[in-house]
Amino acid sequence: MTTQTLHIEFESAEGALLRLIGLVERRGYEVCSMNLPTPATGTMILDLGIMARDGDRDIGVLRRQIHRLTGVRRVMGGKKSDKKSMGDHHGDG
Amino acid sequence: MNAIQTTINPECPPVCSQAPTGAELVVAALRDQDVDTVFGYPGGAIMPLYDALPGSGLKHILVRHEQAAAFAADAYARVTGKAGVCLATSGPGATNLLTGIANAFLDSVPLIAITGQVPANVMGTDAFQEIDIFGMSMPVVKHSFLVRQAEDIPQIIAEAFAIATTGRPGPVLIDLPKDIAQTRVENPVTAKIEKNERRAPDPVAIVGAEALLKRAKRPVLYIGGGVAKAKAVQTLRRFNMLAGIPAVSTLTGLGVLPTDSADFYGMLGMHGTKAANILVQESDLLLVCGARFDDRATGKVDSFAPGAKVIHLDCDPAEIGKIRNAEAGVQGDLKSALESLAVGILDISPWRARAQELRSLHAFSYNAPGAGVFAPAFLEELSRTAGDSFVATCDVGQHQMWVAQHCHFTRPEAHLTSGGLGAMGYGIPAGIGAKLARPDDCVVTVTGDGSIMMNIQELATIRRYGVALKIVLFDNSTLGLVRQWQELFYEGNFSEVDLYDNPDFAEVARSFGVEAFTVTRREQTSSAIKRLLNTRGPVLAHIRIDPRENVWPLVPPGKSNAEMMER
Repeated sequence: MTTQTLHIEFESAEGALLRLIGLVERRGYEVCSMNLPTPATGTMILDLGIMARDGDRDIGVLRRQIHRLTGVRRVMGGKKSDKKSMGDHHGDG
Repeated sequence: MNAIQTTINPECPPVCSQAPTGAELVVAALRDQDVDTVFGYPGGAIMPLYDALPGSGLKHILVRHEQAAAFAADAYARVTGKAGVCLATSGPGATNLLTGIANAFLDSVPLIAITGQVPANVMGTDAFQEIDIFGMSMPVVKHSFLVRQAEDIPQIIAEAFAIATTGRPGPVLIDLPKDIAQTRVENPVTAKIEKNERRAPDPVAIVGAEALLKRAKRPVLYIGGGVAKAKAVQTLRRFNMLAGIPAVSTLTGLGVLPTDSADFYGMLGMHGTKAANILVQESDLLLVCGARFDDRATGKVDSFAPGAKVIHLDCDPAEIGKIRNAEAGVQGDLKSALESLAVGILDISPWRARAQELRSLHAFSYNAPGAGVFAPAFLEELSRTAGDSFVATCDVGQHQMWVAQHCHFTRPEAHLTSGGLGAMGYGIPAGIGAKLARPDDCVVTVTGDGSIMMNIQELATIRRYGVALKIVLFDNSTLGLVRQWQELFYEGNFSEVDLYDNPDFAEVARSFGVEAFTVTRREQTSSAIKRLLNTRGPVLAHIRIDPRENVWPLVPPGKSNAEMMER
């Protein structure tokens, strides 16, 4: 299992960071690293290094689960897994 | 996106000469969202909001436990299609709401939960009845707000309703510190929200789906709870009136097609019909509408519908490909997607004949041994006799599965059940919410002797408001579904399922002021149903059944839906 990095652009709001990290953990990923540069505006970008706790997780699904959170603008990064899935077009980087 | 402005015109009793408080802004914003009824329970931190309720025009239903407030508001939302609203104080009041919020989250129900919080200046000090409900609820809400300024309240309430009701619906929590609720706001800000237009499905994906449908020889229409949420029931019915695809549904999709319709073959999954499960296993194409391949529906995923391609229509892109790959994933508004699918009449006559053969071969039998009441037969007759106005609100257990298997439903909002969470205690509060929302409907709570004890205190709420709810209590003096699993899968090691010391439920109901009667013999079935339906006020039918009776058929846990066990 390899580490992948997601770049998440989201609106700064109370609880937003906790909400993001909590979702990633609950959906079966371990958070390995985090970088949260000082925002210039109300938008923040979180670089999140993650690793699936088991090998059968589709990171495209995780990206879409993050993207549907209120206040998340874009989710980029992370390699697409071999598992084929449709509708995975939320700012795949 | 269209900018929508909402006007805040707080009715601020009893004194209108002063600027409104934060609490009065909450009430005004709720009225602005066309809220008429809220369910709740007061306490210290939410007292300012309760102070603003009298004379506000909002009808408050005082429940006897906060969990019941959330369940009742959930049911109110399911039958009206609007967001339900529940209120609780901080600390234990808020934590008691959590199960109900989680229930709404897993079944995608629009719910607004407003919790009082300790004053902002003592938050973080372990103050009396302080709990971080904002943090605790995060995994089970679609979104949440912690109010930091009273001026923000109109905007937060408007956003909360927009989030709860658009796209895939869900619960939104608003945590309101007491001091902010008491703060007077000189110039309330008009709320502005961006109205999200329903996302149209991708035309290319629609073309791909049509091509798959036209090639299919053994298609199955797989209906989930998302169809009703998308207000696409009539669209789906029109679509399939033409296409004539054999249809099955999930637990929460029951009633989208009338359960008696010619193309409907029942619920799939663990306690589904054998016809439905065989059809899905033999299919070469699943047209999945607003469903999420829940494990209770699929059984062992690796062997689920092994020869089928999948068209998956859903408003939530995160559901497409989550459990089962989709050869055609159509993300967007389900109603638009179904309207766009132009497949005409499909040439699948042999497949339809096969479906009808399976229905005949595996029809339910209502001939049970013994002289006791046979719950499946009771429920079948009850729903048939009550007719189109019948609404069932279920608790969780064997009776819940019997309702899903044997009741007749002509609309999805007639079947209210805790699908994703499986929360015992849902039935009676949900019955209260449903009956208050639809007073002319024949609302029946179907419960068991385990489940009813989870929220039996709500008999007091029924009495207080004269809610003409009918309660069918199947009493087998055991936790029936757990007992069934222990019998079948734990070598008969019956552990902590015996409820031999239950109270006399009819006496308990009467002590709350609810009419009640007990039924013990099968020949009393029709007269009991008649009495139940003819009673004008609230009534409880306490029905003793055989504890050895199990729910059949059954897919054993971890097995394929092809491996159904039968009686």
